[in-house]
Amino acid sequence: MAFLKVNNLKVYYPIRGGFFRRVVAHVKAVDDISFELNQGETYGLVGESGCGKTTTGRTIMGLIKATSGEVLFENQDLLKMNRRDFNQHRKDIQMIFQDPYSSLNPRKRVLDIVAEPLRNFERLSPAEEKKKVQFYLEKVGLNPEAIYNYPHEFSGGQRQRIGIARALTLKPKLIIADEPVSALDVSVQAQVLNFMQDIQKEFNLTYLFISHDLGIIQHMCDRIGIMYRGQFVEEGTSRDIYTNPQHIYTKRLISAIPDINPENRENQMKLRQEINSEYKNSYDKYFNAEGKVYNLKPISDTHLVALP
Amino acid sequence: MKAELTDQKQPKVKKQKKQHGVLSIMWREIVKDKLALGALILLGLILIIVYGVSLLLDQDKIVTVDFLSIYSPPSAEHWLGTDYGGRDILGQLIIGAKNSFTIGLCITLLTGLIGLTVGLIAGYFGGRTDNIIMRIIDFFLILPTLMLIIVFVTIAPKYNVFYFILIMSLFLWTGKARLIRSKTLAERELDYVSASKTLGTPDWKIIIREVLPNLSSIIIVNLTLNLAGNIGIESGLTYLGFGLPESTPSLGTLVSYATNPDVLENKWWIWLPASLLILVMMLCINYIGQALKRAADARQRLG
Amino acid sequence: MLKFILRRILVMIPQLFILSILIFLLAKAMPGDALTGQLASNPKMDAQTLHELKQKLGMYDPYYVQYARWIKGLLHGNLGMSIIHQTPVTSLIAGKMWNTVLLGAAVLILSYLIAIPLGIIGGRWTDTWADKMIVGYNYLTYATPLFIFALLMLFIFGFVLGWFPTSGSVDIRVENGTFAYYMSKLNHLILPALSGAIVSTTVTIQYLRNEIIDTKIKDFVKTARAKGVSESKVYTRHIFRNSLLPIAAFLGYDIVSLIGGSVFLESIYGYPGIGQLFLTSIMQRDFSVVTALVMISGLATLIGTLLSDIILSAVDPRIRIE
Ligand SMILES: Nc1ncnc2c1ncn2[C@@H]1O[C@H](COP(=O)(O)OP(=O)(O)O)[C@@H](O)[C@H]1O
Ligand SMILES: [Mg+2]
Repeated sequence: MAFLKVNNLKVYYPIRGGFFRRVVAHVKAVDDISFELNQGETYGLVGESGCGKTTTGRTIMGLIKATSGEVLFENQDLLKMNRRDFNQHRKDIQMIFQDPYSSLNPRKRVLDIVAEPLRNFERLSPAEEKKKVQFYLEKVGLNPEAIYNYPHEFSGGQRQRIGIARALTLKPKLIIADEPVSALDVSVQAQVLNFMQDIQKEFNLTYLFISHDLGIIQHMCDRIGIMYRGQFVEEGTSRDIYTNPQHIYTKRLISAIPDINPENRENQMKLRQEINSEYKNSYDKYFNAEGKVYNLKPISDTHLVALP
Repeated sequence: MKAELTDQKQPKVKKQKKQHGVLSIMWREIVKDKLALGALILLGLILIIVYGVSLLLDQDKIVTVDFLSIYSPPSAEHWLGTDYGGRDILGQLIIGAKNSFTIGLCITLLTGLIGLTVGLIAGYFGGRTDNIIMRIIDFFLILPTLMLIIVFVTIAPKYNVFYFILIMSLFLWTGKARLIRSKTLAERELDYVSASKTLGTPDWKIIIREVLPNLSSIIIVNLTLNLAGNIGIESGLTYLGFGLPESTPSLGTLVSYATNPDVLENKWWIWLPASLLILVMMLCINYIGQALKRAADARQRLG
Repeated sequence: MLKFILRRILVMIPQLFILSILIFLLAKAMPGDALTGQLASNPKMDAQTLHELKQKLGMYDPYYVQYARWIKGLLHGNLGMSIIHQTPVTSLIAGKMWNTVLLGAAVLILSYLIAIPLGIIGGRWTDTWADKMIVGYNYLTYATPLFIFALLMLFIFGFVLGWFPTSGSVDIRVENGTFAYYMSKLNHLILPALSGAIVSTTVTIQYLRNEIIDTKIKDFVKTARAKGVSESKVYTRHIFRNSLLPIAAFLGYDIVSLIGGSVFLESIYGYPGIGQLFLTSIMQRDFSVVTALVMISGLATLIGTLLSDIILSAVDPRIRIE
């Protein structure tokens, strides 16, 4: 039984135009994707900017209305639930936002920020609440005495930790992390990522990890789905993707990961150029007449590729 | 790993509790600006005198006609002279100022309440709700407001102060609603609103507890500037004879004596003090509002 | 662009329709019509003749019939009869309209004549004493209500100094059409127009000043300077041209605020125009005149806003999206 199963999800944004501002076309931000997450794993969603990753995450979260499809969480369709039932499930799915600045209300103290979900779902005395908030702040590596401070007094990495503490208070099972470190300094990114892995073990979390950076995904994820213009081009375990990429788009993404070792730079440049020319030459092989990708086909137990 | 965490710079726990409220920030800004502080003190003095003295004043005595001292110029007995009914101008000035300010304040608060509610709802929910509300507001924009207020005042069956406040508010909420809506529209795109949604906070709570506090400085600035404007509009309408009913004299009532050219030309003590008082009050309130605005803008720029 | 204008005009139609219904209902709701008012003052009028007169005027017809008749009249340029003056409303209004248009135009021209130089001086020589004076002037005129300002102007220049006439639009003793007649008209116009203009300069000055301050530091200006273009040429060629254009867009909104302003100006200066006609009509319960005036003002407001929206959208295409 899958923990989270997304079936044929489509999210279209209407484009209005013409004289009467009628809907004249759609942006197919997410165009028929299916994938599933197993409990305890980290699933990576990768693709260039604008390919629909955020839309996917936010639709699962219920922040964006899906056009069609199913999101089965523990076998119940979140998209068909009424508000009240959905709110109960809210506790199980939480989100870490990309921008640590705008995702914390500047007018609220850390205590009020972290306690917000508790106040919605649990009735705690102020003392209990404070204890709980301090507990989670300590878990994310912040000074528990800082509860009366305001967000602007913290650095980006620390703010992201506050956001994580807030998500943790409801003891969620699934966390959707939308580019959680891309707004942070490179020096802080690794810290936050490591720490996310630590709490994953401690709280037995499942991650849907969204990023445009395959390097980060490689570091974090068990399985990976590659998105291109709202669709999947390839899915597999980290190993499948990194050692045996099949789709030209995946290959391109991998070749674009910067190599830390300077000696390999030249090699990499060459590889990149090769792949780029292959991308141009064999475009027809990977994309159909409309420029869309083909349906996913299994090439092993774990590995799916969109090939004709 | 833990070692890395602890050596990050973390804010020291504050020894004395630092003030973060919008009001206290604005207060600091005003105190820094000497002219604004002066305006605030002057306005405060005027209000204390007006409200204090009007408590002590015998209103009946002021409105009683005294034919023995018609149009008497300022004297020891009547510091600002008397009007055509021999009534004391100074007394009327104080009562008028009290009424003008109180009513201006009521209109400001009522339009604030309506504009805030409508603007927040339109901006937060967007879509169709917003569309309908904006069409209504667009309609209000094309109305010849002043004329319609006058017409409404004329056709009111039982005309009184509350009715006047209602009519004024009916026409004056739209600007605020537009302002609040556009700010809310921008605010709701920020992730903290999305975060609140994912944390299970109901919409009304997000609007009131999350979005509203972030608009507070804009709201305070806007209300202050509106207060000045509303006192002006009220006294202007009263001047034309379509404002406060006679039972509730305002500063505009005293100014309206100047429609008689003889009073305007020869009996300055009747209309000039009221005119100057309106002017001074509006200058003070506006100056305070502008200073608050500068403070709010500067803070926004800093982030 | 054309699409934007068309859509904008299309939106106007339902607005006009609702406005007309609103005004019609208001007219019906006005207490005591002019005829009933004559009952007391006119000895020839008794209840019977009143009733017959009302019947003849269709005042007992169902509302929608009356509304349809009124709209039909409106479309034919027939605004009904003034019951007080016993003349068609159209001719009554036409007689006063030109005075108001004249006053309005004078206010607008004077206000631009004052505002544009001040805005330019403030923007070009920011933070000099002249600029500080302008900022102070701006702040004063912004905070001052029109009716107080106009009254003070009238008191000082009309009565105390006696420089200008204190009432009317022309000296009735001079013969119509002569040079003296036009001079007298001008003389009567200056004070009210100046009062209206001075309090309406704020927005223009502020906008212009800010615009110039912003444009000054833009790249194309810096490039021009770097090329050795003289400072005054930088201003006339590059900065003013960019900053003055949007000012035109305020024209429509200015017209809108003039409508309210004319009521005060005309009442204070005893200037026989639309605003004064409105006030006397409403006091005499001459409601066919009142409704016609409100309708015309609504139309003028509508056109004024339309004008500004269109100019603005021509100047700044971003606005069209909304
Ligand atoms: N509210 C919206 N209205 C219209 N189009 C949108 C909206 N939000 C996102 N899009 C479009 O949907 C596509 C996917 O966006 P997004 O999910 O944010 O991509 P990613 O997170 O992968 O960068 C983009 O082409 C974007 O322009
Ligand atoms: Mg994204």
